[in-house]
Amino acid sequence: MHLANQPQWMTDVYVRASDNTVLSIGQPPPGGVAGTTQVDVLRLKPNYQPQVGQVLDPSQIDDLFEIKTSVGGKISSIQKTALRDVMNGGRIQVVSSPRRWTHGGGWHATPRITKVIKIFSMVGMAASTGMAVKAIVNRDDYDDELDLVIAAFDRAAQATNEADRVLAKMEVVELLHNYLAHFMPAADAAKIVQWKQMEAALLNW
Amino acid sequence: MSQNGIIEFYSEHQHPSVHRLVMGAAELTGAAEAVSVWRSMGPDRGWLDFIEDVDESDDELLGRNVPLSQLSGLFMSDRVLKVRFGETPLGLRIDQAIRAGIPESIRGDHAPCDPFLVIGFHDLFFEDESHPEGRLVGRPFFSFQLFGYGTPSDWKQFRALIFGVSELKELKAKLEAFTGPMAQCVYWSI
Repeated sequence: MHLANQPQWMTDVYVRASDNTVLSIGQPPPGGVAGTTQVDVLRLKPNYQPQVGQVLDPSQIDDLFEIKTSVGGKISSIQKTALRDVMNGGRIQVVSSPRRWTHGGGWHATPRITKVIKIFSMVGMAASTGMAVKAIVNRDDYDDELDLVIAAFDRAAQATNEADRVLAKMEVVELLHNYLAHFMPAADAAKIVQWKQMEAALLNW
Repeated sequence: MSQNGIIEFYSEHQHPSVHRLVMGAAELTGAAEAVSVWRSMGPDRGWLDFIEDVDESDDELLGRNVPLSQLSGLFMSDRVLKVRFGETPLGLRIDQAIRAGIPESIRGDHAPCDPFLVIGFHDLFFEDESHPEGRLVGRPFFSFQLFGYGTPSDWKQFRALIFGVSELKELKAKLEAFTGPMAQCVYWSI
């Protein structure tokens, strides 16, 4: 689905460092991440939808966001340089997540923010929204609702039979609609969660 | 949420010949050109900016796909020159050596190998869970960094093993042939 004249969102985009060619979207490139730049979130101009194999056009990027989960929210100097290369020297935005990644026994714990990004990758691939990324990750006032979405996704991913899985997915759709409705017209929110994209997100949950 | 790690060899002594320093280091990468070259707008104040929680001072982009022969001419004595390389022959060798030398149970899929040079006095610091307020390591004049996405599965063991990897020992020895003794560290940004 595509909403005309609305900004487009893309998350977890890998581009080749030397020429900003898009190598993969939503997952690391098959050939590995050496020589690449990983972009957390892009807000693109309406009607611009770069594909794998195309060179990113910085003039068509409204905002580039880096999401940090450390206490200080500090971006490494190299990553900052890499992202500004994507923007051909233009500025980037660093978003500090209110939830921190904790040690939890060898740094294996999947942070909440990863799940949030996966959910919004699904949304971002399905459609365009007017949401600000800062709103997505920093809205303490709606955090409880987002946690309900995550919990429903967990249930869908862990369901041991198809009936439970379908019920949990229906719950995800309803909860996510409710959450997104805080940031966009409810009618738009109802359109953007697609069953197919949710299946893809669940596969990588 | 692009977590990343940096292996760093660094020297706090000002080298008498920036040209030799930059060319020597750049040639070690095996690259024909740098992906991009950046320069600070003034003296580096990275640590102060960090502890005072202010936006880092900006860098200016001097060029993309810059031939190695032009790099040292872009250095200015009171600024910091940053030279980024993408995929390089050196990086590919280091990637393979890390994967061969450190068990996957420790490194996960993490193998920092994209070279990045920093010339001019600059603060070396990082923050992690053990140092949530940050830790200032030093103020090198020259850093040879290897960058990569992700983090290891076991930070402590990775830190204990990484500088035993043969390609990294060899790289450090080649650097020290023209820089003098270098210190080393590894850290992650989450």
